[in-house]
Amino acid sequence: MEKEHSLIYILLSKYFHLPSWADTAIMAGLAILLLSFIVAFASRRFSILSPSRLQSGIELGVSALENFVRENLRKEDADFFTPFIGSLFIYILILNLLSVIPGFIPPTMDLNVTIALALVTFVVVQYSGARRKGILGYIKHISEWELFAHTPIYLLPFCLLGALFFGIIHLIGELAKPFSLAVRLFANMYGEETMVLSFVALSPVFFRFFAIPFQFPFVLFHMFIGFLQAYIFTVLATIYISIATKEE
Amino acid sequence: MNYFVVVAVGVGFALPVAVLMAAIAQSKAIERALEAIARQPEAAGSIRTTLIIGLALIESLVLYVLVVVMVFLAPKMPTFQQMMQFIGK
Repeated sequence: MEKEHSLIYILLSKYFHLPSWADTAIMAGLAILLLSFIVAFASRRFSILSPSRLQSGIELGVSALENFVRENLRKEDADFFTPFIGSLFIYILILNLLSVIPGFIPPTMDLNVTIALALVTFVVVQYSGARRKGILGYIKHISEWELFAHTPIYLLPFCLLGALFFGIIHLIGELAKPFSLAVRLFANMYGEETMVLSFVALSPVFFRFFAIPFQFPFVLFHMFIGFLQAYIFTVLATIYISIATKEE
Repeated sequence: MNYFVVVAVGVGFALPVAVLMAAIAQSKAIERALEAIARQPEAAGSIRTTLIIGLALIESLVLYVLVVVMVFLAPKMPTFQQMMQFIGK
C-alpha cells in the first residue's frame, strides 16, 4: 500500500536515507516546537494588569480545560490530573490540525503515535486508581470484592474463584480501553486523510495550472473531526480516570 | 482462487454493511436528541454536546472496519496480473 509522506520527508529523502518513521517524528517534533514557541512568546510579556491578546486567549483555553476536568473529577484528583489531561488535549489537537498546513501530514495518522498516547493514558488511569485506594484497594475494586464481603468464611474458596473471574473480566476491559482509544484516533485521521487525498485526485485541472479544489469542504470537515477526536480522546481519558477513582 | 474470491467479497461488503448499521444507529440517536431538544429547549446545549460525542463514537465503529479493510484485508487482494493468471489468460 502506498504511504502518504510529507513534503519535508520527500525533500530530505533525496539527500539522506530516512527510516519510515522519520516522517512522523519530524511532524511531531515540529508540533512540539510550534507549541513551545507559542507558549514562550505568550509568557514572555506576561502581565497581570494588561494581558496581551495571546495571553488572554491561552488563559481562556486553560481555564476552560480546568473547568472541564473539575466537572468530571473530584477536587483533589482534578488538581492532580489537570496538567496531564490538558496537555493531552492540546498535543492531540495540534497534531490533528497540522494536516491543514499544505505539505504536512498529521502524525496521528501513524498507528505508533496513537498507541503511545493510549498506553500513557492506560498507565495514568491505573495509577490514578492505585493512588486513590492503594494497590490492595484497587485490586479489591477490580475484582468486585464488595460482592463477597459478607459471605460466610467456609465459602472463601468460591469467593476467591468469583473474584478471580471478575478480575479477569475487568482486566480484559481495562486492556480494551487503550486499544479502542488508539484505533479510534488513528482510524479517524487515516480515513479523513484518505478521503481528502482521493478528492484531490478527483479535482479537475485546466491548462495545467487552474485547478478546482474539490477537497476544500473535506479539509474543513477534517479540521472539525480533528478537534472532535482530540476532545473525545480527552473526555474518554477523564471518564476512565473517574471510573478508576470512583468509590462505592 | 476461492480464497481470493472470499477476500474480494469481504472487502466489497464489509464497509457498506458497517455504514448501513451505523446510519441506522445515528438516525436513532439524532431522532431521540431532536425529541429531547423539542421537549426541553433550555437543555439544548448539553444534549447537543452529548449527541456529537455519541455520533463520533458510532462513526468510529465504521472507521474500525475501514482500518481492517485497508490495512489487513486489502493487501491480500490479488493484483491484476494474478487475477488474469487465475482466469487462465
